[in-house]
Order: sequence, then structure tokens, then C-alpha cells
Amino acid sequence: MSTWLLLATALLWLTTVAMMIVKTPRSMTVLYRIQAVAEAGVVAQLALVGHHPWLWSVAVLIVVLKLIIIPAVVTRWLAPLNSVYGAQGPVGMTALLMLALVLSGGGIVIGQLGLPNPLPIGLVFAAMMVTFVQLSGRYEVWNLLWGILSLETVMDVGALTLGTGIPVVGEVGIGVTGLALALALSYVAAQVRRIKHSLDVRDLEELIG
Amino acid sequence: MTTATLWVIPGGLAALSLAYLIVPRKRLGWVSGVVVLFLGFWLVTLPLNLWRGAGPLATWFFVTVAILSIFGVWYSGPYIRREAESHQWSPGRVKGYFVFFTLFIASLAALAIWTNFIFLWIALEVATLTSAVLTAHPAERGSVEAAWKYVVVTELGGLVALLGTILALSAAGSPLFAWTPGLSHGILSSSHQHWALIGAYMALVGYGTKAGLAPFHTWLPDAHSEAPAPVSALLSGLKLAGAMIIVYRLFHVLAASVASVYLDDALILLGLLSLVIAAGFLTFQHDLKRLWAYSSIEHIGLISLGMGFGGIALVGAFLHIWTHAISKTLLFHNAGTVRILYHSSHTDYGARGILQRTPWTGALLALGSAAIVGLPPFAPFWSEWLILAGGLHQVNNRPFVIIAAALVVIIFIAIARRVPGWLFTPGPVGPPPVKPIQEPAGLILPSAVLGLFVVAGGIGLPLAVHPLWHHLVSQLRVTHL
Repeated sequence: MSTWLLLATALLWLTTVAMMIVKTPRSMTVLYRIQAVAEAGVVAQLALVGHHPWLWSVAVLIVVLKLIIIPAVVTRWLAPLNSVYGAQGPVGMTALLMLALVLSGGGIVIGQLGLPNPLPIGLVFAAMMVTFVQLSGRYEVWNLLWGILSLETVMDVGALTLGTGIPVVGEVGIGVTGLALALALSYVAAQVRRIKHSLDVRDLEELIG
Repeated sequence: MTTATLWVIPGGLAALSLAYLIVPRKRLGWVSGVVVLFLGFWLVTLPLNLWRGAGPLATWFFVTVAILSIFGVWYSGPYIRREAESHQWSPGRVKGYFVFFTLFIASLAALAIWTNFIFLWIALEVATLTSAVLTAHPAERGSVEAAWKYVVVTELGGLVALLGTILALSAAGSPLFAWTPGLSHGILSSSHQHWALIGAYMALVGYGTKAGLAPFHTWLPDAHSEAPAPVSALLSGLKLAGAMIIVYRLFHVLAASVASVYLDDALILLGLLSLVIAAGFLTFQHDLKRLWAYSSIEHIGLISLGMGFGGIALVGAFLHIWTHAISKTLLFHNAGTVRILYHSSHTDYGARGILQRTPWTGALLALGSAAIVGLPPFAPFWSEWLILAGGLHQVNNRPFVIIAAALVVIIFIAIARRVPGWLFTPGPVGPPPVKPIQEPAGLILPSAVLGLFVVAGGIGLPLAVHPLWHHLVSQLRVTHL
């Protein structure tokens, strides 16, 4: 197992936990960019160790899409949300952190059960479960939006680590789908903001019952 | 033409979608005509053996996608024109609808003809995202809320499906990026078998969310009831079935490495649960589109059951993809017409006495309802019968079939109780006779032709595929109850 792969997945997990507890959309953008660096690091490591030179182009694509384009698109479309955010979540942050700790432990144990690269893949599972907590623990539009985009990065890293047989065209397809996801989420989130004049989606009528 | 070169179908449709942006608003119908001709060309050249899909299932689903998309494009013209007039849509918004609708069709065509799991996932994602944008397109509170819920819930499922698919295929030693994924016959270690099974379950949960299988169906009633009617029709008839076809393809590849009973049981369990949810909620619906949305959960449940039972029931499940899609397209188009003519599809807000006030719309509602509940001789009767009879063919499945049959009867009663509320209950504007409403031919004609398909499909099916039918019936005859 490579130390760099471990460091990159650990950074991914750490930013995922941080995304769960931060309270402002601005911090989300920064953390999402750090996540993208972690993903690009994983791809670069796989390119070096696995001798897959085409993965370098995927790393460049990730940098361009996730460090520049997606944060720019989301920030631009949701500009009114950047300065408006709630400071209270339905669950206390300490409780969320403890839950994240337990789930992360579970993810690391799962990674030890016969998968390649046990610790890095365990951290990916841990990050996945922490993102699930984030998606169910907070209800602001921007939080759910960044949560889904964060999950997309986590799953992409999982797919890359497990499925080293995917050629560049498949990886590019998955990357571009991530961009389309960001665009669609931003569009619908902007529409929610327009009709509701609020960030909290718990009172959406369609969500009840 | 090989499967890999069939990029031209979704690619051509995607290119045509951009043409909507170029032409002036009054000429949008011309582009729609070209889209219909494009789909018609690929349909007509199929029996001429100029090209073929990657197997019978791909060809079957492509035919379903192409025919119903043609009806969708046809009906969208008059439907969107009236929506745009009554809600003051800008020309840009009208064009946007047709761009995304054509992209949605392109993704459905890709779902039909591609067999590579990564590209199937991408096609389903594009179908989800384009239909989510279309759901939000009316820009009203209900539609935006439904679109938000739709995109959040199904994207969560989609991402789980991606990791699950890769995990399962990697563990099973199957090539991840093959256009014709073969069965993996190597003997797997216990650990690899477990991971293949875990991956398969993750994929089932993810794609099941996309398909609207209970208990992952929570987005479906809202999205189907709030989206524009032609979008609801393709969502219900094609996108849900497309997700189930991916599950079937994946489980088929994994069947050689994982005990298939675990995979089949999961499909049966989710199928039964979907029937339970549909039976429970159909009884209380007062909105026509929401009624058909819950009915979609029932029919996806039946398809899941057929795939889980296997054998003759599997033939029934594939047949049901077509029979459900065509009946449901008729019903969603009809519900769209009701919403336009009555300004609501809710019985409490005026959508009543439809048969008297709008006889064509009422008659098509009655026809579609009789078909979708599985009354003979309509086509869904044959496919449901094959699913249930095929299940009975195998002793282990009989308890599940009995439960499913009971739930289908409950659903039949629920729909039979609700539909007269729209058809016969007098309108809210005073004592009968209520003033008739003029029915525009542009809205009625596509649905009327679909109605002919529904009638002809049911009566003609056993005649059209007589050798296959004879074989299936002779197989079922040897069943000893």
C-alpha cells in the first residue's frame, strides 16, 4: 500500500467530516476544492503505481472541473445564499461528530474484510457513511447540494480505487456527469430559493408525507 | 452495425436537441418532425436488418423507447403550446423544454442500446438529471419542490449504484468495461463472493431508487405528478424500466459467481413491498396524476417480481415493460389533457364528470384505466398473467405469487373505486347538465392513436407472437398445483 494513497484518502475523509460540521456555504466551497485535490492525488498515485499514463489526463480533468468550474458554477448560481445561512442544526454537532467517529471506525473495519488497499478503501467507506450522516443531519439547500457533490467525489474515489480497469473514456464520462450533476443541483436549488425565500427545505410540502 | 457504433442514435438525438435553440419559436414543430423522422428511421430499418441491438432485450426496449418517444414528441407540441399560453412562458423556456426533452429521449435510447455498465450508468444519470430539470420546468412551488426531492434522493441512489456496480464486477472478476459483459465462470473465494453480493445489493438499492421500487420510491409520486405530462409518461413508462433492465443485466452477469437465489429473493422482496405500498396509497388518491404515479410503483414491482421469479415470468416481465409503458403513456397524456381542460387533475378542484363534459378525454381515461388494471383482453393482462403463472410454475415461489395476486386484486379494486370519481361524479359548478368543454383535436389525436395501440396490442398480442405464445402455454400446462 502506498503512503501517498493513504494520505490522499485520509484527506478525503477529513474534509468529508469537516463538511458535515461547517455552517457556512463559503467553507463548503473551500472544503470541496480540498476534496478535489485529494481525488486528484488518488488518481495521480494510481497513474504512477499502476503505470496507467492516461490517468494523468483524468487528474487534470478533475482539477479543472472540481477546483475551478463546479465551485464557480455553484457559487454564481447560488450567490444570494452565500451570506444567508442558519447557525442551528436539528442535531447537536457533538452528537454528529461522535456518530461520524463510530461510522468511520466501521468503514475502516469494512475495508479490512478482503478488499484491495484495505485502509484507503476503508477510509472511502468511512467518508461515504459520514456523508450519509451529513445528508440526513442538515436540511439547508446548500448543505444538501454540497453533500451530494461531496458524495460524488467520495464514490468516484471508491470507483477509481476498486475499478482500475475503467479506461479514460469511462472516467471522463463519470467526471462530466459530475459536472452535469452540479449544474442540475444548482439550477433546482436556485429555483427552490426563488420560490421559498428560505434555505430550510424541511417545510417543503412535497417532502411531507 | 455493431453496438459500439450505435452511438449515432443518442448522439444524433443530442445534436437535434441543439437545433431547438437555433430555430425561431414558430418553427419548433419542424425540429420535432425531424426528431420523429429520426426515431422512425431507426425503427423502420430494424426489421430490414440494417442494424441490430445487442440482443433481443436491447432491441425490444429500443422499440418501446422509440415508439413512445414519438408519441411524447407529438403530444408535447400541443401540450406545451397551451401550457406556455396559460402560464406566460417565455420563448426561451419553451425552447428549453424541447431541448431537455430531446436529451431525455437520447438518454433513454442510450439506455436501450448500450450494454456497457459504466455507460449505462452515465445514460441513466443523464436521464435523471434532464428529467429533474424538466420536472422543475413549470417553475411552480409544487414542481420545484418535487424536482428538488427527485434529484437529491435519486442522485444518492445513483452514486451508491455506481460504487456497488464496480464493487460487484471487480469482486466477480468480470471486465468492468466490456461492451458485451460475459459471465464470470472462475471459482471465487468466499471473500470475493461476499463482496460481489454486497456490491450487487448496493447496486439494487441504487438502481431500485432510480426505478422507484419501494421503499426507495419516496421521490416518485411527487415527481410524476408535478412534471409536465409528456415527461411523466416517459419517466413512468421508460426510465423506471430502464433502471430495472440495468439491474437485470448486472445480476445476469453476477449469477455465475454469486448464489443467484440471494439476488432473486431481493428482487422478489422489493417487488412485493412495492405492491404493498401501491395497494396502500392508491386507495386514497384524489389527484389523477398521483394515482398513476402510485400505479407505476405497482407495475415496477411486478417487473421486479417477474425478474426475480425467472423463467416464463421473466418473459412476462419483459413483455410488461412494453404493456405498462404504452398504457401508462396513454394515461399520463390523458391526465395532462384533464389538467389543461379542467385546470386541475384533482377531483376536489373540479376534475369531475369528465365523461359527460369531455367525452373523448373521458373515454380514453376509461380505456386506459381498464388496460392498466389488467382487465382482459388488454395487453397488461397477458403480461401480468405470465408473471404470476410463471411464478406459480416454481414451487418455491408459490407463497409469493399468492401474496402478489392478492395485492394485485386489492390494487384493481382501489383503482376501480377511484376512477369513477373523475369519470361520473357531477362537476362542482351546480346541478347537471354541466356545460361541456371543447376538446382540442391536437391534444386528443395523439392519445386516441395510443388508445388504438392499447386495444390492438391486447387483442393482437397472442396472434402476433403465436409460436412463442403456444410454447409458453404448453410449458405452463405441465404445472401441477
